Amino acid sequence: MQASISSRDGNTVIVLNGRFDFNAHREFRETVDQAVKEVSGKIHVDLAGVEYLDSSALGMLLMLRDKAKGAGKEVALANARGAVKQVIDIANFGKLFPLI
Amino acid sequence: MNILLVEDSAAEVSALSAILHAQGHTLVVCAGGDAALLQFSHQAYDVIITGAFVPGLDGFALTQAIQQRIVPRWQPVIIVFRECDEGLQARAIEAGADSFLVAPVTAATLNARLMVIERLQAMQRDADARMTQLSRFLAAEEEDLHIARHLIEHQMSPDGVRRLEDPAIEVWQQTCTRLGGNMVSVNRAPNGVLHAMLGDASGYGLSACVSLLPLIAPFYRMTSKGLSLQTIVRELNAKVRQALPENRAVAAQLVAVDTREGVISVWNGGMPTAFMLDGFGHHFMEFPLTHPPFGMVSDDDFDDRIEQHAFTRGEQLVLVTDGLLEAVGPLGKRFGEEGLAASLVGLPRSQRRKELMAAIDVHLAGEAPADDMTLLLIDCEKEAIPAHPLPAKVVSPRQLGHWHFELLIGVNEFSHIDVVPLLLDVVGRFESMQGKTGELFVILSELFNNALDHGILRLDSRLKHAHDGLETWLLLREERLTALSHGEICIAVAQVNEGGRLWLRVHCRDSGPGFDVASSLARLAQQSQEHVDERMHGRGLALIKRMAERLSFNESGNEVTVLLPIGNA
Repeated sequence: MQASISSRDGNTVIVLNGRFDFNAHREFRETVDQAVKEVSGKIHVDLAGVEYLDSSALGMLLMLRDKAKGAGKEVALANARGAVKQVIDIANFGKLFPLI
Repeated sequence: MNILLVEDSAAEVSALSAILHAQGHTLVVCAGGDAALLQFSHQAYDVIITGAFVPGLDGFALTQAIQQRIVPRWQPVIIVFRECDEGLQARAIEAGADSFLVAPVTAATLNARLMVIERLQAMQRDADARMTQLSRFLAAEEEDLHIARHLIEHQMSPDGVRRLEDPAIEVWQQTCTRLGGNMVSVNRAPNGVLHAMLGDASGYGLSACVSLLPLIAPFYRMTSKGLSLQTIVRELNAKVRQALPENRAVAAQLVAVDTREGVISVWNGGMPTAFMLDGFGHHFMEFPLTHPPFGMVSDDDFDDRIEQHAFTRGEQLVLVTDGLLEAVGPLGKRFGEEGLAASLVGLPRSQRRKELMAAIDVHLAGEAPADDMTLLLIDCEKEAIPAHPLPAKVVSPRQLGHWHFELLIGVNEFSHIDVVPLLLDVVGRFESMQGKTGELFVILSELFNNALDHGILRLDSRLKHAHDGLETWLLLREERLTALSHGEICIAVAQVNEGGRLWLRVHCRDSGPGFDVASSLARLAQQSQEHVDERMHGRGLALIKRMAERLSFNESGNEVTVLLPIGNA
């Protein structure tokens, strides 16, 4: 998986691409640490390029949410589609994150 | 007063009328007994004053006749004698007179006698009024009990039919005359899980039954919707608080029996300890009182935690109301936990209810029970899951839509091959699977990671929850992977065409010792569709369970089969 950070409308956007599972842990964590340090607005996780996502990815999203909360920031999940959207719905993550 | 005077002597009539008129009484005079009886049958009089020896019916016969007619009430009668004769006076009292007078009658004596009679009559009127009131209350009470019984019997289910005929359930109930407010409700969730509720409202009669009403409809409705026991008990507590006056509580015990997973769940709010008997009738597991009754605590303080236990075959859960334990026999002894245990323990399942009924009969020895007594027996029989979740039959490889492959890897491959994409790549080449690999990815990823991380490497997921837990987990995982000397994982994927539908069967086996299947599945079984899990781990099986048609394990937990519908053939 590739992870990168950009900024859009004053918010920090984490853009993920590829397969989001346990193997993506290190990359994701580094990106998260960087994103949380950014001064600007909310954190959006852009899932448009994510092909697959499993339960360890869900765990990592929660980790991001905890860290962001510690820094006083809100995390939203953006552009989930297909199988990714399905997993997020089944886990009722819509109750934990705004879905945009 | 309104007085009937029976006298044939004109002198007597005029002497007595003078006294009576002076006191303001109204007077009707008859010259003989027969005329007086006729007159009496037309109109009631406060007092009858009769001469002892009037023509026709004499005073005695007249008195007797009148008293007989007016039973069960009482007619005050005074008999007047010409002379003082104790024998005749005794006869007068025997005949039913209140008192007697001897002529010549003085105003003082007559007025005194009438005053006594007036007082007695006032008392009688008072007593009559109370009697009428009492019988009205009694009729109202009976009507209430009638309504109460009807309410409970017809609210047992929304369609008014008592659905207690579930084959897994045996109920015995004896209500007391006042109705003690015991209630049993049973329903099945869409996935076959049995929900049972044993309730016991405080108080008696209609008020007890009305207290039960808020529980019944939500219990049936929520069970039919497939909501979890925890969601249901939380709602019932809220309903009782809404519907009943403050501090009016309803004790209840709710049970969920999942025969597919072999897990029983109990929420006990203010009821006696429930217990499990094994197939030989040995007492081996208790579900004690853990919560206050419904209605006692606010939504915020409400605790929906349930007790769970795994079962296999032949177990039975025993639930009772306190009326059974507190049943007091003629010697003043309560039936108690000992009486209950003595009548159930050691007996085969089929005999327990009968034995208990007999034991209670002997214990009460004809005494009426003071409260409702209910026994609820629930069979706990785990379904035998076939090794093959699909109908077993020889599958010809040439059959349309069937294919199969498996991958067996060992220690050397674990860290060098990215297994899930490899499998997904193979599966994705089959025409039927194109564009459908999303769910399969989740299933393969969860199964393989579980097999490697938990099955082979014995890592504990709870590690992830600590501060920097994922990092610690990753380090430990690599450490163990490097040190690993043996172990293998086999994943088999097959597509089968059954009943006009295509299914994907994923089977994963690892060489590890397995895990506690029952308690994991029990936790899963309790999660409702709306469940939001905020933990860092433990989400994988829940995802599979909601995506797949079936998720089943072997007993030790190192083999798992998932069945996924992928469309029409």
